[in-house]
Amino acid sequence: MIIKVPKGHYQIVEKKGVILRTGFLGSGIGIGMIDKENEIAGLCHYVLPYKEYDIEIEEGEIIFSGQTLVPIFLEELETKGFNFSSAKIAIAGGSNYKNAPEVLNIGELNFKVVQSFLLKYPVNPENIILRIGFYCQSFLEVNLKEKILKINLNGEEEIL
Amino acid sequence: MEKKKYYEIMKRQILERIFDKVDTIPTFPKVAFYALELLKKDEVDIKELERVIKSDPGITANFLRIVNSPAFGLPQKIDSLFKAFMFLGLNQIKFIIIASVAKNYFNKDLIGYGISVEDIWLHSITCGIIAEEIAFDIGFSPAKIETVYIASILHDIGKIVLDLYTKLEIKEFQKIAKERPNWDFFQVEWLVLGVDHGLVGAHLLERWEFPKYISFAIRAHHDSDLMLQSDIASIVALANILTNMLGIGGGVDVFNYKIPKNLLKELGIKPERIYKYLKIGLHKSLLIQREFV
Repeated sequence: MIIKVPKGHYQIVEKKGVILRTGFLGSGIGIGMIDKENEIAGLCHYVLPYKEYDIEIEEGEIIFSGQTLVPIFLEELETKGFNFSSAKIAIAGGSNYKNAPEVLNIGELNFKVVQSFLLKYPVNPENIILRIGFYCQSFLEVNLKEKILKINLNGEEEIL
Repeated sequence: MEKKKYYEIMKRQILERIFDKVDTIPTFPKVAFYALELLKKDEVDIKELERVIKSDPGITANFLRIVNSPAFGLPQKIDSLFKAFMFLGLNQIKFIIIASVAKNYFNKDLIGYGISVEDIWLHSITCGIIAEEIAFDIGFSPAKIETVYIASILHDIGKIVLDLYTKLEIKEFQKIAKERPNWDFFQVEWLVLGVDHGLVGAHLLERWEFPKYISFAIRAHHDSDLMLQSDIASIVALANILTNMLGIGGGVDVFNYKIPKNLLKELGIKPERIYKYLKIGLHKSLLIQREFV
């Protein structure tokens, strides 16, 4: 089964042969995490950095910013017994135009948001793959069935 | 034959075929032109407007689907054009007419450009929504706002002409883009095809007899020097940039362009306004997406 994780949302799955996938990330960020031992995986996808940019689409339905979404995502993983120190993590997106003025580089701000929250967890830097700020489209996939993370940069796939 | 000469001949033949293909694209419907003209009058004849739009079932069907999207926030389900006109402002009606026509052009996946039919259409509409917001903020007249969203919604129309050739030459595109990472994608299009999608789109609009400033905006939307020569082109370019930043659209060329450092300054846009445009674009695009994707 493939679950597409929409913008401003996250999805966590346990012990299931499920594939989690983002759409085109743009300058937004995708965070994919997989704990092979406990068979827990999660994928978080946001577009805007700060909580003042949370958007209520319809009553009670909110598209969350990174600042709101990332801590909830990480806390829920922790609650489920996710092992951060051995987990593999892929962070992709934050794409940017060439020569872009600073104000149009929200990819960098988006990345800073995830960095600031990840610092609170005992992640192993060697298990993190970053593909941020490229001048092209990117997508992220978490495959709990095959226990892999997949980053797609303009058609070129990289597997972790 | 010398290799260089051979490539020159090939490129010329491709170019000829591209411009032949422009002639095969159905012209912009007269119904839409006439409806836009009616909407420019001081007193709009709603009955006549309904009659004109109804004469094109494709536009009518698209119009009703778009108007029923939660993005327009209407209090009830709309099942007739006349009822829709009662609830909508003139600018909204114009916007939906252009969006309805665009849907008929963006009707298949652009395989060469690596973008699906749903994504290219949603990208075009979101670009129009953001551009309209920027133009309104800057203080454009209603007539000028209309030109901004026509150009924004149709800015990638050249891709429907070039897609076949991009698909055939995709390996060459990838090779050159890798060899020359500093080049913008439209420069790669020029080297491989002898033309870029902005120029082809502009040519198409000129054939359809749109005003020059609209075709110029389409011509210039990726050219960091040209776009600064017109405020309409600058807005179209900025709206396109913001739409892609939101992850609405994509494709093989996305982000592979330079932005002039002074784009916002030239338009008199304060940096803090950018997030307002991003929020509006994201919000409305998600609502429209619900109705269509």
